[in-house]
Amino acid sequence: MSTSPKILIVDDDPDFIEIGKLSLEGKGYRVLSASTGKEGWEMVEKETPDLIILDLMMEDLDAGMALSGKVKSHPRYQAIPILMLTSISRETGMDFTPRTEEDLKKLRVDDFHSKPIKPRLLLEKVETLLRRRADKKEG
Amino acid sequence: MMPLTKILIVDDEPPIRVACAKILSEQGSTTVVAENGLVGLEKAKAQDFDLVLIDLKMPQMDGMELLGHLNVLDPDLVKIVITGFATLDTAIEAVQKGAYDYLPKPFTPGELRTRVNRGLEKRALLREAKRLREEREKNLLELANEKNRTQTIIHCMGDGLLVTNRDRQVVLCNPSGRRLLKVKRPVQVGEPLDQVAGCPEFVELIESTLNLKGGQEMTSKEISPASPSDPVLMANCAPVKDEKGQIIGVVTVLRDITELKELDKAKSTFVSMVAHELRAPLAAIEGYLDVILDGVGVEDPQKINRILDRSRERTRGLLALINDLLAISRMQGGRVSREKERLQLSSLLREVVELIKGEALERQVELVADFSEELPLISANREDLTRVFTNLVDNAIKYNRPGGKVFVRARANDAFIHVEVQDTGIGIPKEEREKIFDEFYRVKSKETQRISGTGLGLCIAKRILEAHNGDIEVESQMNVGSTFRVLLPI
Repeated sequence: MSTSPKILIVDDDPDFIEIGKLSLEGKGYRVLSASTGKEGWEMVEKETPDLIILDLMMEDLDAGMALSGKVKSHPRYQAIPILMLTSISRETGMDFTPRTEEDLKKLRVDDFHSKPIKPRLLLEKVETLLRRRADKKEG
Repeated sequence: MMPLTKILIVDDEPPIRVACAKILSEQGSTTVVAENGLVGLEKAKAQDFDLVLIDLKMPQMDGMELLGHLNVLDPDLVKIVITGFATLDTAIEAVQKGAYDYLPKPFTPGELRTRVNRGLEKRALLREAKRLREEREKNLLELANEKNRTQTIIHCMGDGLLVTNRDRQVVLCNPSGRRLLKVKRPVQVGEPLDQVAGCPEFVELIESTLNLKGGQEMTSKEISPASPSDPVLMANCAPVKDEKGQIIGVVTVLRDITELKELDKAKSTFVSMVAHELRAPLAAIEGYLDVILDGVGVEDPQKINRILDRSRERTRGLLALINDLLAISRMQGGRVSREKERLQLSSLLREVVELIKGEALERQVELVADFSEELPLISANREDLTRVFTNLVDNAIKYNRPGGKVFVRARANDAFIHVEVQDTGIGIPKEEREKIFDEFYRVKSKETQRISGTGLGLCIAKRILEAHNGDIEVESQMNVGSTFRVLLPI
């Protein structure tokens, strides 16, 4: 790989962005951030990140889902892996936690985890998703 | 002998009067004499007698006529007729006219005593009967009053009362009961329960009370409303037992607990909001600590310092939140009555401005205090008002822009002191202007995202001002600034 992968964090919690940045930058990733779905989309168009870490609930209940849908239905961006994070299920009683590959497809994301997520696990998930994408490209 | 008996002797013949009086006095009676019917009647009217001896043949008013008058005067007075011509006819006539007995002349002292004593016994019986009769009447009257009173109480009860028998019939339903059960018509005694009770849940509850096993004294249940606009009812059912302990019916007290339920709901909403607000900063602090502890390779001291700074900031926010929560709970509990003093608001405002100057300088905001030294004194709690104005001035600085200004003004009219805290900041969106006084409400925007706050400051300020019979309102223009106006009565 010529340059280090670009990761976009879309989250309305500045602390989470900070924590994500610290963890990912420590491993040499380049990190971009956005705090709304709208900003996130602008960043996708401008920067074409290699991976998106996306919060499900931001300015709207489903802002994250709207963004993932937009990304996955766009021919240029649909290959970008999306890791969705949320604490929504516990807060609202609505359980979005996907349990099968099927569920993930419906959410139009590649992986899902509830918050909080340990930095080590976040890094593992990011690495796995990036590797999977690289394998796909080669294969 | 009979104590304290009073006897009237009416006879026109002095020797008989005197003789009778003497004989009867000897046996302990008080005697009064009269020479004819007219005088006799006067004396009977003047005082009470137990017995009257009446000669039938007298001038002015004869015995028969006197009998008639005495019957009216006191029906229980025992009258004994003395007659010189004791025929059966006159005796019968006298008895028909109300005489108890008759005594033919001439009579012996023994005959007199016998008849009189029998008469006095009769009199005692009559008096006892009268007493009993009066007592019974009095009891009946009381009973009627008692019944009325109970009925009135049941009728006026705020709680609904429903009494049902074993046959699932309604025996009683008071007006509140009808109102709570939404029964618009009068309830007839003996109506089937399910026609009155409305919902099956309630019928079941009464049913289960009828089948209560020994030991259990009551059943209670919340009856959920059929439609959301209906009241939520609490039904307390107690069994009515006969002397053998068999359950013969159920007394149900119905209470409207809608308001209590709403209060309960508001309380749990508040608790879940508090939990959420407490979790957010703690989760952030935990996240920062994890970055260091999880060994993901953050070793740069500068980065570690940034992490610690951010954690510290979040800890401060958490403490501020807890302090605000304590302030709110103290106000809600109402346990501590806040001591008020006569205070000079201008010196309080000056202290607030002085205290907050440093922060203003740091944020490059100019703080302008514009009020006179002397304002009318107000009665207020110093600590509470300091909290209000510190919060308002602090907000005006936090939500300002670099190079901005904050004006603190105060003036008085006849009844109020007006305090204005004006900023040149980001402004508050119109639709959110009322909500900012709600618990935990914060305007969410790009500008506010990095500004720390508990979401309780204005809510506390409003409550404090309300407790001082004052008020707070806000005027704002986006990107121009906001003005908070406080009104405090003099």
